Order: sequence, then structure tokens, then C-alpha cells
Amino acid sequence: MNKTGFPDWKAPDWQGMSEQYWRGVGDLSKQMMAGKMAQQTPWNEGIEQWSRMFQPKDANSTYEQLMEQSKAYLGQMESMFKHAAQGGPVDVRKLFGASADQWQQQQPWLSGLGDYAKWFKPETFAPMMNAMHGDPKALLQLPTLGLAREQLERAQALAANVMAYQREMSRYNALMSKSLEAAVRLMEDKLTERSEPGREITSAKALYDLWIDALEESYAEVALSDEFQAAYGDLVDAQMRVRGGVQSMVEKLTADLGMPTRTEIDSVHRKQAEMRRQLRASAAADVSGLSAEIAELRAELARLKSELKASVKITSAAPAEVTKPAANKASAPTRKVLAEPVASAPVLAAKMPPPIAMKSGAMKSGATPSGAKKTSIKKTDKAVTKGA
Amino acid sequence: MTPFRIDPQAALSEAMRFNEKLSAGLKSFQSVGNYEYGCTEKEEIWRDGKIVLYRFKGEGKPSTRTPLLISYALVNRPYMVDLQADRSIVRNLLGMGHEVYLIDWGYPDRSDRFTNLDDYINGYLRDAVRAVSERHGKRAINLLGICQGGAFSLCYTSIYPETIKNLITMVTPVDFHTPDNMLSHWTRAMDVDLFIDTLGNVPADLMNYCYLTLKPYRLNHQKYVGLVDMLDSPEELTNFLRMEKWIFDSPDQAGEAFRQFIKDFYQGNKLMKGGLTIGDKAVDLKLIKQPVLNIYAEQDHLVPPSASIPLKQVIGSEDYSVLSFKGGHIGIYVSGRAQREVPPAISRWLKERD
Repeated sequence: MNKTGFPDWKAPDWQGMSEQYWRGVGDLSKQMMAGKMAQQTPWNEGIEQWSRMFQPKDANSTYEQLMEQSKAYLGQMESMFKHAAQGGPVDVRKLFGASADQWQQQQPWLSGLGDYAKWFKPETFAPMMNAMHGDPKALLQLPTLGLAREQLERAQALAANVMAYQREMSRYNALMSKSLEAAVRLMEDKLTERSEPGREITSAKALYDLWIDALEESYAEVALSDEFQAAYGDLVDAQMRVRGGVQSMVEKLTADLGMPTRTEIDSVHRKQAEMRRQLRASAAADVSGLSAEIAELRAELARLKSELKASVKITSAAPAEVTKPAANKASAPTRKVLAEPVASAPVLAAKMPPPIAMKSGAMKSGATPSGAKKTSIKKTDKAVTKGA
Repeated sequence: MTPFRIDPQAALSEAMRFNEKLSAGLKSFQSVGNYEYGCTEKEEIWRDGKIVLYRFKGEGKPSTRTPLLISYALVNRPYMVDLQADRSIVRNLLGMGHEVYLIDWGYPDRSDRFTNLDDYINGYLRDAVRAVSERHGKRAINLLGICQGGAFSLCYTSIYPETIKNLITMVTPVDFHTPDNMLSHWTRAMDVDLFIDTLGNVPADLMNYCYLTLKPYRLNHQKYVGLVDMLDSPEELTNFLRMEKWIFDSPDQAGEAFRQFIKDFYQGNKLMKGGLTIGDKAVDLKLIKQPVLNIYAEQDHLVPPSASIPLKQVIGSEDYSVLSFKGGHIGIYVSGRAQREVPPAISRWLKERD
């Protein structure tokens, strides 16, 4: 033991345990190679049990992720123990068991648009590109002739787009390599900082977390750069052009076979969406029209009521005029006409979308004829809202 | 000098413990079986095709007068706000006396390819607000918009201000052009017309791939190494799997809505700069004069705080409150801290303005 209370790396207890451990790993490896792994093997047994249990096929499954990351993690653990046992300066590349390029190869998601793009990886088109002996660029610029000229032209465009996609993918991958190189340098700096007494790394997990931090920081720096923004945009665009080219060829084929095409179905869906919008607009217009009508009727009712009140006042002041048939005739039919809409107004109002339709209707369109009516509409508006 | 100070015995123990946890995980995975998600009982109130408005059923009677409608993002499923009994913003709000509704945007398919933001905001969201208003006989209701749903809520409230009493935005982007917004940075140079014209709808897997590459080493590596620590606890494993289910249970994105969202919000930054229209309605955030509570997460890698904080500058409200949550974009719904801090803060704020 040294002064810190931790065992010295070169102390016999570590040496002995380390040798014992690596002997065990070596034996295990031999057994695994021979297909004779025993149940009680101390290392990797958990992983192997998992592998046997789930036989993961789906690259996106939690199990698969768990297996892959656990294997990588254990590999890093081993590497760290070796480094720790040897002492001396740390080689980050050796520590994590891979050069930046190898690390990149282990990260399928780094290859732009990930598994999702597997059908559109540049390699997919290798046979097509290889078939173009000589100078592909020159071939792609040749004019096409005859009955099949349109198809040939489409194929030429697709091949040109594939070549562009390959270029963009290389550009993107170069930036990813750059970020990994930067991560290695950053990790070296972090490890140097951790060499100060009291800041040393004391577990494999702590080392792993530090490496992830370095990777993320370096990646973020690249990913937030203008260079990456341009490369990312161009890569996405390039892949879309390839997809579009394939889709147009498939569409031609399906049309020849008498099958409905994507374009035709899109056309139906577009019309359907437009019709829905028209229906919604016309329903809103109906409601808006109704609300304006109700508002006008209410204003009319209010006016008539006040007129009636005034006439009642006059008749009580001058009883002789009450018997005038003209006054009765004037008010009676108006009441009849108003009776129905007034009674039904609250029902309609309750079904109405509150104030929105009203605002976009009569008031904004200028359909309200006078300032007085506008005031009435506002009052009605409030009443309707409360009712709703 | 070496950066390592490792006790050999401890190192070996660490390795063996890792291995033992992996082995224990076999049993745990077998015992997990099917796990439920979306824990609170709810009833369908209104539906238009795939879009459904739900009302959550609380155990007690609501003590507040104004109902709350939650508008979630299109890009994930809304059961995140009600993931499990002990991690449910909805359940907490119900327990605090609120009446809670939620719009489920459903899973768009190719027939929804031409559904645009006008349909979502002036159509579905407006209809949902109307349905809740009519049900409660209220002219205006409370609206809680989350993430992209928050951006929708801002647009909606500015267009129909008289229908919203109080507005809450949660992890909602407003300024899309801040330097630390990686997602926005990436979308700025892509040709979104070419993208949508080619893909039609945007596949969920592609969206998820994009999100994973925001923090690729943490989300593709570290997360699964961390999972090993939970493998000997069926309960923790179940929680992890439930979350994993939510992360990858994503709807495709309706092409036209996506096109407009990228163009006007991510590329055009029109919530900040102005000039945004939804259908034939102009969006002017200065018309938002009702009380606003803006909640953001300090470690949010999808909607960085810098994207949410500027809301105060662009709205017309004089009653503006902010809640800064110590956590990330997902932790703000489901972490233990979130349960202790977020629903009580929302409830208190709403009750003061009921």
C-alpha cells in the first residue's frame, strides 16, 4: 500500500491478481474459441447468456444496444486495467482499443442518416456504378436517343445523383473523423488534468464517462459549425435526390403495370385535404352569418322594445290614442315576426363558436349599418358568450 | 504521473458486479412482461378523424373553475404527461383540483400528407378549445402548450386571444436562431421542399435518428451502459423500458405541416421576427395579453433555454412568470424533481388567476 491508502500498481497483490485475471481471460477466450464456454466463466458470461437468450436480430432493439455497449464497455475496462498496471503515459487510442477510424466504423449512426438510409447507402449503388466502365461522368453526359431515351435519361440522372451523394457522404464522414480526432486530443487533456493528485480516476465507469464527455464535446463543436451545417444540408439534399430518382423509376414501372402510383394517390389526398378546408371554411361562414343575423335581430328587437315602451308611455299619458288601430297594427305583426328567432337565439348561440365567428363576420365586414347597431352587437356578443 | 488511482480489488469487483448485473438482467427482463403506460383513466370528449380530445377523470371534484387543455407536440406521443402513476403531471394536476383535457394528435398516415399548420391550429386546436369551452360554459379556458405544442399554443392564442384565459408554455421554442440550438442549426441549410416532396410524410424513424444524433454518444452508448446498473431491479427496468417505448413510439409527421414548421419556425424564425401566418390568419404575439407562465428546462438539448427565454420580449402580456427547471427536456415531465416542482407551480399559478 502507498501513502494514499490505495495499493501501488507495482505491488505484488495487484500483480498477482492481475496475472490471475488475465490468465482467466485467456482461458476463457480459448474455451470460447473452442465453443466450450463453461457456465461459471467469470467474464463475458452475462453477455453470452444474453446473446443466447435473445439472439437479437433488430439492430434498434434495447437488447442489441445493451449487448453492444456492454461489450464495448468491458473492452474499455480491460484496456484501462492494462494501462493502469503498466503505468506511464496514457495512449488514448490504445486505451479505447481503436483508432479514430475504427471507432467511426463501429458507429453506424455516424454514417449520415443512419440505418434509416440503409437502402440508400452509396454502396447499394456500387453495382450500377461499376457497370459504367471507363469515365462515368462522360457516360452520364452522353445524349440519349430512341424509344428508351426517357428511361435512359432518368437512369443517367440517378447515376449522377448517386455520385453526388457519395461525395457528400465522404464530406460528412470527414467531419466525423475530425470530431473523433478532436475527441482523442481532448481526452488526452482531460487525462492530464486528472493526473493531479486528488483528481485521479478511480473506476472504469469514471473513465468511460470522461471519454463520453470528450466525444460529446468534440462532436458538438463540429456539429455546431457552419461547415457542418452546409455539409449536413448538402448530404440530406443529395440523399433526397437519389430517393427521388429511385421513386420516379419505380413509379414508371408501377404505372406500366397498371398500378396506382404515388403521384396519383397524392393527388387524391391533396384534393381531400382541400375539400376538408373548404368545408371548414363554409361551416365557419355559416355560423358567422347566423351570428350576424342573430345580432341584427336582437338589435332590432331592442329597438322595437324601446319604441313600444315609448308608445306605452304615450298611450298612458293620452288614453284616447290607445284605441288608435294604427299603433296596434304596427306593433303586432312585428312581434310575430320576431317571436321565433328571439326564442331560438340562445339555442343557436350555444352552438356557435364563441366570439371568433362574430368578429370575423358582420363587424369586420362592415355589414353593420350604423354605429348604434354596432353598440348593440357588442352587447349581444357578450350575452351570447355568457350563454355559451 | 498517472491519471489512474485504482484499487485492484475494487476494479475487479466493479467488473464482476457489472457482469453479475447483466446476468441478473435476464431474470428481470423475463419478469417485466407487458408494462402499462398512460395511467390515468380518461374519456373521449370529441374526435375528428385521428385527432381526439380526452378528459382525464380525477378522483375528487375539481376545485378550480377554469379547465386546462394540454396541447402536446406532434413529434411524440402525449402520454408522456401521464406516463405512470408516480410520474404524471396530469395525475398531479387532477389531485390539485384541476380539470384536465388533452389533445391526442394521433398517428398521421399518407392520407394526412397534406394536413398543414392551418388545419392543426385553426382547425383541430380551435375545435378542441371550443369543445372544452362549450362543455364548461366558459368563454375562455387555460391552455398548456408543450414543446412544438407550445409554439402552436402561442400562434393560437395570438389569433384567438378571447378564448384563452391563461397560457402556459413548457419547453417551448420561441427564438429558433440561438447559437446553441443544434437542431435548428442543422435544418437551416437543408432544402425542405425537396425533403417533403421526396418523402411525403417524414418517417418517425428518421425523426428519432435525428434526435439521437444530437447527443449520439450519450444516447446510443452511455444510456445502455447505464441500463446495466438497473438490471437487478425489475421496477427500475420497467421504468426504463416504458421510457424507451415512449421515445421510439413516434408518429410520422404530416408532410405539409412539417414543411411549414421548418420553413417558418426553424428557418424563418418568424415567431421572433414576425411575418408568420397560419392559413389566412396573421400571428402577432403582441396580442397575447393574458397571463403567461413560461417553463423551460436548464439542460434541455432539444429546446435550449436560450430558445424559450425570449418569449417575454415578444408577447404583449404584462403578467409574465417564468419557471426554470433543473433538468432536461424529458426529465421535466417524468423525473422525481419534476413531480415535486412542476405541477405544484402550475397549479399555484393557475389558482391565483382562476
